[in-house]
Amino acid sequence: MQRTRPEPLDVASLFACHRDGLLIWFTRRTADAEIALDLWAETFACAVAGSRKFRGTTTEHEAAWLYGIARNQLALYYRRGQAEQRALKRLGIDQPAVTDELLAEIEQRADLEELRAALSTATADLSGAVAQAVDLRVVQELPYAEIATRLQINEQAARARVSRGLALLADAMTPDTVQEVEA
Amino acid sequence: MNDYERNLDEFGRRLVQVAEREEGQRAASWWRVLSRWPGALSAGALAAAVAVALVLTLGPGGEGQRLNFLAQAQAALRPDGKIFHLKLSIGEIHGGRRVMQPYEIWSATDPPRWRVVHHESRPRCHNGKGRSFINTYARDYGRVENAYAAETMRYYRAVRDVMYVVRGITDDPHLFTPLGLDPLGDLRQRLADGELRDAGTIMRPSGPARKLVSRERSGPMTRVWTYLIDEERLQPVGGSFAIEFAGGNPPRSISRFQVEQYETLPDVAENHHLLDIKTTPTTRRINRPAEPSPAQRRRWLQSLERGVRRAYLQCKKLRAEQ
Repeated sequence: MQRTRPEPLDVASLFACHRDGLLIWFTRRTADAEIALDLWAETFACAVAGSRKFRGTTTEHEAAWLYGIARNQLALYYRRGQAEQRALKRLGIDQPAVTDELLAEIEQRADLEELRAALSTATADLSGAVAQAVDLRVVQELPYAEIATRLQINEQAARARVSRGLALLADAMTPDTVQEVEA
Repeated sequence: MNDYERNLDEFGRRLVQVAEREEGQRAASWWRVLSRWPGALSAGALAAAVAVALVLTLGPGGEGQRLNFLAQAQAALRPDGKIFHLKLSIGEIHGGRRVMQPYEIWSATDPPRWRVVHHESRPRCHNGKGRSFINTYARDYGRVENAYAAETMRYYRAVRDVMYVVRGITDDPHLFTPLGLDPLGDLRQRLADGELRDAGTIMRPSGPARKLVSRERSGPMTRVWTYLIDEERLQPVGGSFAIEFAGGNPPRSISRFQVEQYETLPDVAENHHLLDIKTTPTTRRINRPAEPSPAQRRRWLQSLERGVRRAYLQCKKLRAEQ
């Protein structure tokens, strides 16, 4: 069998297809528009960096592959408490400046208000320290530095508690977008 | 256009720009690979003529010969219709001491299938006085086999005669060893991507071997893969992986492999048993989902914790008996 050059991944069409859906997917799983933006950008950067590994032929394969990367990024965030930036750095892609208007629109599109209310109820099942961290970040929207001060822990530990809590609450944050992609 | 559209579009523009740059580099790399591989060219006489002209122009001993060797090695390692069989020793260096472990690997690529056999030694305990001894209570040791085929991963532990079966694995089912991914598949991929540099010939007891090196810089560290290819038989005979740090500091960690046996077999029905795990009539099979539910993950973590605690208590008991 002759080796043939694989078809290159059409990054422009991949981005156009999943730009909004993937951002909402991340926002509803992190309840934080800024972190969602970081994870979203890193996911697309990983897709570009790893495009030679892509072996699919249809748009469904592309979607499944992209969301596979997204799930890995989300799992890393849940584990470490911060979004990876490795692929973005390696490829030298700078993210455009984030504005309040941008974050507000992401929150609105992801229906974050309604999600925050649901999370507020669901945190009752979490352990005290984790629930408190999730509540301060997600419901009261405090910056991590202030959460750390209030809980008398360092900022990294505060991030880790919030992400651990969100990982446990992930079931409460299942948006339709995932089912659409996985269907 | 509002901030949302502006920001996302701007990021998309940058992303596509970088993707095109990367694709351009990759295309150049493919062209380099094709032009070194006149015997297997599908691009036709033009590319073959370019490659031949390169070799003739640069002459023996020069760049042309190096390109020619890379092309020959790539052709020799082509996976078409073959099962590759390797006996390897893979070792890691810790504090100046290298521990070599034997592995036996069979692999085929179309469709992807592989099997690895490894013998884990019985874990050792430390007695707290600078001496260590074998943990006779340990349950995890002996022959261990891993295999992948038809989107199914199988994991067999002979000492317990148990095989775990995980179905529905489609995402990068790479053979994994302590060295990283399958050493042969990795070498093949690096040759195809034009990432290896010919660093000349070294002499080994078995004869001359060509040293091929790939360096990948990432921040302050550089990852270095080295492969040794027998010059006459065009077979891998060894290699290493090291991480170098900026400022000329010595490598912090290094792993090494030696190929004890290398052979290729036809990928035909009578050889397919080599890619299957050898079990017994009484082997217990346990099915596991590819994506465990949160409850299952929690249970496994708890069982892992119990295992660690049990190992700790066994070591403590052994120390008391010493």
